[in-house]
Amino acid sequence: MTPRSVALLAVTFAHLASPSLAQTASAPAEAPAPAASRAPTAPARTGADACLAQARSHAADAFQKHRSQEQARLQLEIDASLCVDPSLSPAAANLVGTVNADLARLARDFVVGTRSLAAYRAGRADRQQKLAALLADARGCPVRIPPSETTEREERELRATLAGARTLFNASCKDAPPLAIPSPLAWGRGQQTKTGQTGFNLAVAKVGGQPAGCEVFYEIQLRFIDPNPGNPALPPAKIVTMVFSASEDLLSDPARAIFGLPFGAMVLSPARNVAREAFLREYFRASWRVRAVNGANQVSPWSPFITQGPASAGVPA
Amino acid sequence: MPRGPSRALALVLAGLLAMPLPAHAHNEPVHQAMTDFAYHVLLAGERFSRGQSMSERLRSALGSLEKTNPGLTAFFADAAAAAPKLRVLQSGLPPDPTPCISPALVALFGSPVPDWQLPSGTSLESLRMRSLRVPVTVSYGHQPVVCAIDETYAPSGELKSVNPGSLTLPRDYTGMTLGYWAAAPDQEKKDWVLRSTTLEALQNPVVLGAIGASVTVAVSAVCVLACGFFPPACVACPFVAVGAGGIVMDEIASIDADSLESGDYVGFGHFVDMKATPASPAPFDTKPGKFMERAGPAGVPDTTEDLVTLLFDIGGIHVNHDEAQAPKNYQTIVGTSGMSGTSGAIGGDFHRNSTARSPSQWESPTIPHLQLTAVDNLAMFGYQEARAKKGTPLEAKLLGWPLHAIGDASVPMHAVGASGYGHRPYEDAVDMVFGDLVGSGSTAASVSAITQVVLRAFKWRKFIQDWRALHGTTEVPVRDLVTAVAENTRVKANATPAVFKAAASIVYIIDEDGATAAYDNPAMAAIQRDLLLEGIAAEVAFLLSVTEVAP
Repeated sequence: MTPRSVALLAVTFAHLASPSLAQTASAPAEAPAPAASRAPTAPARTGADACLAQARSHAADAFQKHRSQEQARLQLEIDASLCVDPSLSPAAANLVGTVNADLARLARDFVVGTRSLAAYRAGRADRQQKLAALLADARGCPVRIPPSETTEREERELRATLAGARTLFNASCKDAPPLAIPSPLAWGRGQQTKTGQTGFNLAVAKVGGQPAGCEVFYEIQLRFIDPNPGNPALPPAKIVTMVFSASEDLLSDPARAIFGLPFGAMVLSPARNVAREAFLREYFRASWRVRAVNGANQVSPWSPFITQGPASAGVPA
Repeated sequence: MPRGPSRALALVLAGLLAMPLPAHAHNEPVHQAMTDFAYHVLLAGERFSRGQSMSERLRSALGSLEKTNPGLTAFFADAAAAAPKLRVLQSGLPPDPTPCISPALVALFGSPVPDWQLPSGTSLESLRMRSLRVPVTVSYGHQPVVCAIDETYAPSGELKSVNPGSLTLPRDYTGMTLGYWAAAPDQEKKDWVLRSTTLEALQNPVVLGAIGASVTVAVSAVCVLACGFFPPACVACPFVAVGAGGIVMDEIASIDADSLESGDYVGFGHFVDMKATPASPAPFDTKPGKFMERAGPAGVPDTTEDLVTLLFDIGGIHVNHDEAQAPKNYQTIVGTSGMSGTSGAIGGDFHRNSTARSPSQWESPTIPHLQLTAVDNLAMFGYQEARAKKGTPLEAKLLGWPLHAIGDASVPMHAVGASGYGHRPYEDAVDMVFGDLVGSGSTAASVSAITQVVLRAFKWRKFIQDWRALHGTTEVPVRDLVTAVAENTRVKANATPAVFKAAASIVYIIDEDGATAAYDNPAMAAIQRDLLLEGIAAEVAFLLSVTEVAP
């Protein structure tokens, strides 16, 4: 038994009655069984993966049998702590697992809006202090951090970010291979034959090799430089990022794709509109880079930036 | 209805965990450009010392520096001895037959496939750097769509005059190749292999099951998370087909994702936290690596760190010690005189060794509550391995580790263990304006940048020489050097507190452009330039000194 597990054992008994380390938290309706009675076999570290798989299976089974998600998670974390450190006593495993389950629960409560940022931070600090104190064979106390204007502002920022975050999903991208790194090639005026328009075109090296139906997107970031001296209100540089679907490719070329910003009055996305104006009358050159994204949330690394003015011969499509 | 695992939801959670949160590095081109600049400063010193040709403006500037700093005569002479040794390093470059499509490169090679004109019996990886006929970009060897050869490359500003040439005329690409290897630690995806306790085990599929094949949708990320843990919330989780004139697509522009063995986590070991270290929890290195609980200039995590923490805690994400290389490679215990080192004691490089941790100590806490490895240890690993592989194609690659660490140590957020506080937008902005920061666009600005690098490199060179004299060795104090650069960075950043912009990091997740623009202005350029030149200067001193290490 390691010194750490001895220390844990010595101070854990007081906590065994509660599945949570939160002194103020209400106990779940159904307490988990003692860890020792249902922990998967974990005789050696070399079997950690198998042990974890067994623990997950136990937890999923418990969930299927109508244990709550919270109870199943707690059981899983306790079992997992034994998988990674088989020398832990059942009581110590209970402590480590409970801390990890508590941290997950606190995070989830914040995400679903039932816990404020201040309370989330306080809960985290509480668990960290308790664990540290237990390791040192001392006593920890709950940390209470009163809400402040700063935390309330930060909470608004964080919730707005979470609310605005989007993730991509496309079932056809399951098991898609890693995306290759595209390259920016050239930008300039040109025909857009497929759509019968004229406008600014951006040519990039094309990414292939994805499963049928797995749509590829090209994220293009531009930093416009060399502003038009006739418009002193322009900032020295302007940064714009746009995303195009491969389905918007104006070519049918296996190696190159061209994406267009038509001059016509058609409605564009805000970012494309900003880019078109910048190309059209605001800036003379741009540094730009590109990367690929698919519906499995895979993303290629960014290409290096290249700095270019408009292609002298244009970029016809 | 049975409730079972959901790959779809697991994928979404994995995606969320890889949102553009700068645990990972995205500035490989900056690492390459820094090292290329540093090599060219050595080259300028070499040519100045030997009276060889360069622009008159540059020669005059170096001459003026030498008059006021007589020690520079020896410095330039040392550069003259060092640069040729770097040029004969084996390139280490892997073959990458990705075809080129640029007319200039196709004409140069006589076909789309790169032709290195290798001498009979010589592989590309064993080709001397001085014999490389084209420069590669950081995408080379990492699945580029077209050949990753930089046909537009030229050294920065006045440094062109010490390495003239072009795509069709001979030019020395040692700097670009060393730079390629300086960027390479960002490709070490095996450094941090993670494992989720719970991923796929407890999720409850609802929201994504009804979406047909071949349709890409954008889903509210937090809603999917909430749905997985709290099924009644699923009714509030609409998804939107991607398309509609690009409007929805622009909204998803900032979402990264990858698997748990991911480049997104490579950067975990690329920090060294230079602020004062509290007694508890005890650090495992004198100056610890990233520790999310204490991230930031004052040890108070910002909302970005909150976000990272909650996502990793929800996912139950831990290190997989068996597969992750960083806990083994970057837990640094250096011995002396053939003796193995002792955990926590002073090591053979006179820097305190890491305190060794057991596999279970690495695996028990979730990532936010684990002290990750420090970037000076990453540097030391590369330095030691390069010495062990001296004379092989691996030597150049491994020298990239300390060069990379010096580059990271010159970034304020890396020196305070912060994923937030403006980390990613700061680095993106530096990537965008690197040429401006080093004065590539004008003779005066370029000469100014070069002379500043020379003076600062002279200082770092003295740092190394003093250490050698004190300890009677020809080694390079890699851990001391990296932590000293990081401390310099932290002190300067603290004197310009506006460089730490907590709000910019959280904004970056949904408005990358706005957040980056906050670092693209003259006030920020001043500190970016200062720190960048300092990092380049430390790289000059390292490159110069590492060629002197006795075998």
